[in-house]
Amino acid sequence: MKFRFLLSLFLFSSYLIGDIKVYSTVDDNHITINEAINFKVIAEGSKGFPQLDISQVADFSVISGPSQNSSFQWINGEMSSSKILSWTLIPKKVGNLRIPKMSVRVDGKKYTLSPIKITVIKSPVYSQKGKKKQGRQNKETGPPEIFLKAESDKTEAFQGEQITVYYKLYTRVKLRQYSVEKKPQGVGFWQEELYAPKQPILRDTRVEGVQYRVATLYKMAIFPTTNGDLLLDPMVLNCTVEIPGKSRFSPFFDDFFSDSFFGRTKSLVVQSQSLELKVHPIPDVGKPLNYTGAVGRFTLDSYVDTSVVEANQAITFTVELKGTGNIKLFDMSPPEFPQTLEIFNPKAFFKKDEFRDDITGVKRWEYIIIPRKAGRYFIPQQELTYFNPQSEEWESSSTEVISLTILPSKHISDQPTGLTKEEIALLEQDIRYIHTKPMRLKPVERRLISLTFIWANMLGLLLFASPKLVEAFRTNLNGDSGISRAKRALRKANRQLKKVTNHSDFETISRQIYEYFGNKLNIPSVGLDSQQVQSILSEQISSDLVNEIVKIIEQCEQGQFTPESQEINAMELARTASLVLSKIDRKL
Amino acid sequence: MIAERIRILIIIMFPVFLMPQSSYIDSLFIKANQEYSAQNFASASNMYHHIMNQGYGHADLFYNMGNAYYHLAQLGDAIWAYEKGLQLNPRDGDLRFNLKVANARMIDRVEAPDSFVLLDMYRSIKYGFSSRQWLDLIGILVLISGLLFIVSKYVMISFEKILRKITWTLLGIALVSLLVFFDQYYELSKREEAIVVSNKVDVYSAPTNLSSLVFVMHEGTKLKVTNNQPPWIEVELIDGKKGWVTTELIREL
Repeated sequence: MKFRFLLSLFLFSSYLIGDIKVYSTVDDNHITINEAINFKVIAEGSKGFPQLDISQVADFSVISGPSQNSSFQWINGEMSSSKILSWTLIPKKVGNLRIPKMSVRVDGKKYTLSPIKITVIKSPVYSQKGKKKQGRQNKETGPPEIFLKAESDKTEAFQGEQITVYYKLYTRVKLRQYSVEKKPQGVGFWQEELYAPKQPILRDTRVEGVQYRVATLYKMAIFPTTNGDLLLDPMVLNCTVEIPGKSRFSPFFDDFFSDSFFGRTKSLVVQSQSLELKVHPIPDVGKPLNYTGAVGRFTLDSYVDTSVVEANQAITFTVELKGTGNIKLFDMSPPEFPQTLEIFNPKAFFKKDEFRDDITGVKRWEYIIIPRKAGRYFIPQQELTYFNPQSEEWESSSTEVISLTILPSKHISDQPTGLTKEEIALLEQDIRYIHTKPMRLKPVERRLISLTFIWANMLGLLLFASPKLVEAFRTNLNGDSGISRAKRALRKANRQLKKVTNHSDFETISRQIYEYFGNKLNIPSVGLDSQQVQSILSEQISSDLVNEIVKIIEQCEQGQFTPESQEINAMELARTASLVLSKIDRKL
Repeated sequence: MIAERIRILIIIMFPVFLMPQSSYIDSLFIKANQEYSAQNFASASNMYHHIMNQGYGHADLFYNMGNAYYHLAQLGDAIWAYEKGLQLNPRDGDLRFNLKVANARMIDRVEAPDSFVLLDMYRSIKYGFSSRQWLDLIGILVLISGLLFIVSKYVMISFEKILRKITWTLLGIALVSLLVFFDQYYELSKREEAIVVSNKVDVYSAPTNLSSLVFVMHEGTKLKVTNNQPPWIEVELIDGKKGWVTTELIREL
């Protein structure tokens, strides 16, 4: 048991201003690089906690803290209280380090903390090469009781190539428990934690002649995403170890107590070293244009659940990528499907092979394909080109061309492409139901012109004509009106003249002529003579015709008295008369 | 002799009396509708077809027939029946709707070249009525204007001027309708249309299988028949593509 662990070293400078006393302490000022110190700032008699900026401490990094603590004490009947802030710090480098002079505020007043010197030495065993004998640098330290070592399977890698990092805890003391304070981190990596048993298995080992027990606490795969010299920050553990208590107890009980839970424990912060890695860029020679960043060894495969379906029935098309490498870090572009296939966004699955340190797994994309039209289609092959870091060459894996046979659908729902919005809306709709209203079916009407047309037109035209028809009808009823008499004068005269069958019936002829003129000119026919006829007609028609009719009238008059003297008989005269009257009628 | 003449006149004027006993047909129609309701679309379509072959025609008959064909997945025949029904009643909403639904499921999209807006309007008015409907409309217009004429002359003499104006306007519309009718009738008498009823039709550049394939048509496409040379006919699509097909693959409207 070394005194420095028992000793709490107080390096303090105190200022008594009123009742408040402010000072800082560390639990140890002589440590190895992988050990931590507890830095405390104590304010006695203050009301509030001290306030300070810990980032002024440049030589150490903060693992945890600040944690606040209040304590009360009665000394000689007087109560004193103190407020404590504490941090766990780890050194950043080897050498004589110091916690600088810092100013701190307590209850609104400024105090100054004096600097603290801390000596940090190299840990003899876990240094990367580990060639030096332990205990040479510092006789007091000897081989460390416990240390954490980071190991990697390679120190040089290609960008995207997996590097497996192991964190091994070596211990000479009994480890009660540990917790991870800080996981290793680095810029320019993609990290994936690998499987490690929850309960680390301890094995016996010898490190430079010293007996240790070792356990792999943490494993991870890192994939450099950039190239160059990359640094992986250390991992920090918080361990609780037993203090072997030989000096306290009699040898008789020693084994019993040191093995049991009566044994005293102490808490240690253990830090690993940082890892330096050299990452080479992927060679440009042979790099395909569509390279998506695959590094490792992969096989690509694709298949469909069925290759012969009816249109509109779903097909599951699966692309499967198997292999080892940065499988999670790159994606596959979907194959170029034929336009007539409807493709739904793929579901992607990833199944990791948990128990292998090389990231290995199966990545699967499931596409649902719905062919809309019958026919034969091909899903073109897909190719993945990857860089194989082992052979340092470009390799590729490709799928086979898949042929699909789509049969015509038994249902009408072939959805053509290039639909308008209205048509898509219509596709969702069903047709309307049939008309079931009973009705009288009629033979197909071949004739263009319907009865409606005939009747409506006839009636309509009749209506237009009706005023004229009504008038004509009225005229007919009271037939002696002058106009109708005039219209029918010739017909009446002609009819009567035809009835002349007697050779000497000259009287009828003359009477008919007078009646004709009476009717035609709307004058009384009784008392007309040839002179009157001549005078009336001469105003309206040519004298030849007038003379002719006058001559006929005279012949008639002569014939009435001396029928024998006439050279023409009455029948012939009647015919001549009707001819002449017709001529006259046209002129009047 | 006179009695005979009167009979003929009556037959011409009221052909209802000439109707053969059609109760059988009517009951067949009802039966077909029942078959349709019972999802027996094949037998329903056969019955509708039978009624049609007996020389009967009605927009509803073709409508129901089209529905039956539709359910039988005979898209081309369904479209044919709807088109046929629309010839009889161009403004039937159900027919138009179902035709649209059926057309939306067609594989071919034949785009008609854009035409002048006013011309489209005129065409839609022109084919908004069948030829018979146009003529009936004209008859009714003439009748109404005749009645108005009488009213203006004898009944409402004080409104004579206005009524006369309306009368002449109606007569003017009747005259325009007559012109539209003649236009439509002339176009229809020239035009022969058909619907593709086969699932897939190869259209050749000449009336022989040995000629080159011009394009491929699918069920339901409407065609114009431009030439006939049995068993081949020349068809034209509304976008202007032309070619020869065999008659059994299409169904003339």
